[in-house]
Amino acid sequence: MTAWQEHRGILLFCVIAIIVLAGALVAFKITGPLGIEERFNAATGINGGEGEDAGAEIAGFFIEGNALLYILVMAGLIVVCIFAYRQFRI
Amino acid sequence: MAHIHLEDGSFSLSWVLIWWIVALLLIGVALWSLRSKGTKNQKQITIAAFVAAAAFAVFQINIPLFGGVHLNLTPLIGILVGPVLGTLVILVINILSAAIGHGGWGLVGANVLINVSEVIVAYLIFRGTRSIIPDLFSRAGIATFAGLFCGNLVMVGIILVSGIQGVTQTTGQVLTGLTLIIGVNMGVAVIEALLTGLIVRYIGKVRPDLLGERKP
Repeated sequence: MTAWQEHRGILLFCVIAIIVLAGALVAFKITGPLGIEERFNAATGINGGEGEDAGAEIAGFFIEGNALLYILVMAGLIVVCIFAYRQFRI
Repeated sequence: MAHIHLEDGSFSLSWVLIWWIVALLLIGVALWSLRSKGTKNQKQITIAAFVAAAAFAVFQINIPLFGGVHLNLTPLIGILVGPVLGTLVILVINILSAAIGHGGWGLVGANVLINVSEVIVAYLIFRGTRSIIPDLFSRAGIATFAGLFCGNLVMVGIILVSGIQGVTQTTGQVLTGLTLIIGVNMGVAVIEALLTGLIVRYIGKVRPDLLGERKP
């Protein structure tokens, strides 16, 4: 395998990443620092609205939706994962 | 990360029903495929449970980048469990997300279609470029870019076809706004591509059989 064949994947990945990041920065400069819902509302012409439950902040990150329900669902999913692992392994 | 972040009532009832019906048809095909062919490898069920939990966990976390974004790991789901089990995982994540208040119930059908397109495209690119790009990190990363870009196009298509109720924007204005959303979303795709690439490369080192790869 030549050096080009070996590295073309990572080169292609880097080229795509640079183009995409440049596009994202331009788009962000135009839209401004809007949240997800605000960005959608601005794009589609919807005025305000109640929006989604802001949720709780954990270590600087906001949980979208209800934080208590998030924890409960996560606990349920962890139980499902343990059951699946005991039953089928990996 | 493509996901329609609009409230219930943004689409007319007829379009909500249409996207739900199309999504249910897709899920029906996935269930039929599972019943008729079965899973060759029961370990895939465990992996499906793990990726569902991981994707649900990150899907709800608002990352303070570009004003607020979230990852969804749909390309990773496609790469690890394929489009059939992946479709069912996507349904579960979207229903659970709506249940905790992230996204409207009426948009679950449309969002399932968007996320399934990401799963399918990422899976196809990852499997289809094996001989061209042997490196797992870059192949998974490129598959992630392709999957998420496709998901964004499907998202824009669904919104433009459905139309938004009660707004005066022209289709051109909505398209311009949504194009900017694609731009911002694809910026987040860089993080998701790096993450997916690293996870897939690690799995490829310790358990290449889970990726259908031969041991080096």
